Amino acid sequence: MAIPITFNEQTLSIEPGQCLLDIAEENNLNIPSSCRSGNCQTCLVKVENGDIPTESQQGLHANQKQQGYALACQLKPASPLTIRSRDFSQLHNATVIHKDIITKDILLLRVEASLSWRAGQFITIWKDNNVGRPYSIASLPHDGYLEFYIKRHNQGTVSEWLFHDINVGESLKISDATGNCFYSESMSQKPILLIGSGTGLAPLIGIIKDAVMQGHSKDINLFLSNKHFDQTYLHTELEAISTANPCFRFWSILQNEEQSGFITGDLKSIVSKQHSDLKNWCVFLCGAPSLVQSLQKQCFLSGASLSDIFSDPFITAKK
Amino acid sequence: MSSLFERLGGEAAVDAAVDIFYRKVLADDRISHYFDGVDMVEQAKKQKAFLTMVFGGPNNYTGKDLRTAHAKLDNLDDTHFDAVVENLGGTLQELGVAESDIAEVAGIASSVRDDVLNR
Repeated sequence: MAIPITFNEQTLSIEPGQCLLDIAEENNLNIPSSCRSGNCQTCLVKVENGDIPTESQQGLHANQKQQGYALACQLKPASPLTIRSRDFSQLHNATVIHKDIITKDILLLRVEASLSWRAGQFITIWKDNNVGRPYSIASLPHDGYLEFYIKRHNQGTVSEWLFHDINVGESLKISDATGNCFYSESMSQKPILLIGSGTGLAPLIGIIKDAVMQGHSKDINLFLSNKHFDQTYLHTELEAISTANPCFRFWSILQNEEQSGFITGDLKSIVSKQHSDLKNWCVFLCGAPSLVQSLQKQCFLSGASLSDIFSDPFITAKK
Repeated sequence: MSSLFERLGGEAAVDAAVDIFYRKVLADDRISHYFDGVDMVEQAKKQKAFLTMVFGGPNNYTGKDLRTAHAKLDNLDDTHFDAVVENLGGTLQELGVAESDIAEVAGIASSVRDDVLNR
């Protein structure tokens, strides 16, 4: 039996099992979205009345839950609800202070904004009230700015705009920082393994710098994979961290090329050779969703506890 | 007389058991393919609910949930169910649970066999 939903004063009827995002779009009502998998939080809506299904609030902060926020792509109403679009006046203003295209596909962007965050979390950068995309934070609050490594996507609405149209001094709208992929004090007695591909390095280097700054004394091992040498970045920064901190070591892997200072081969097999026993390790995984998913399984089977595996799959926007 | 759930160590014991149990299931060629491509964190939550039930703890598991959840799995039969019960027994042995308690857990697990196999 169809369930009546009020969305911004308009009545919609939703069959059990259908999600709000799909039904709104069928009715030509706009809810901005990106990953459509319950991860990126771009499709946040506010439920003003009714019982909010638990799964539609997964990954939200306690205060967001309390205010009735939910993810439209995961919101499958079981009873009547009154829902509103998110309030865009709650976004933060961020000023671009640095912009540099560092490889042909990666843009380094630094912005200043007053909000709290942890390195490794992500925020959404909004082009306008209809289009936003999530980006991971590579810098610490201590740095005084938010740093992003933005990958150019073919016909990517937001990435192309950031590459071409945004300049130093201009202002951007960004959301609160969210996500649980960050270093915490409870990890201080555990060795840490970080694995990533491509721009997965951005949150991982943030987590590494955070751990080092907090005096982490156990091993910190980073495995990073790219297809080609010309896609690599931050290599000298990683070398500098490793020189200053003997507990940090990194393996930079190229899939298809030989290059001095790099290992050629397959990320998963190199990791499994080095880390066959991950009992008591903390693991961070960032990068392409298929890679993150298979590494999650590999690390779990090697002994890491599921509650010690933190992952950030970079899900490309789905239209 | 304390309940089986309490004797096993309550919720903390279930959390410890989920890691061991799930790892055994994924490493078991008889059943691991049913878990390909599933969200591991979500799956672990379901396993926690399942283990809480077979430990006799407070749970919201119903026969209908088990039917719906397993109905979409192809060619599920007694061999797969037995493999899961075997991994469950192995998990409890690893945790040092008494044989008599393991038998009780296996008994509770077997009570949902027909729901899981949709009979």
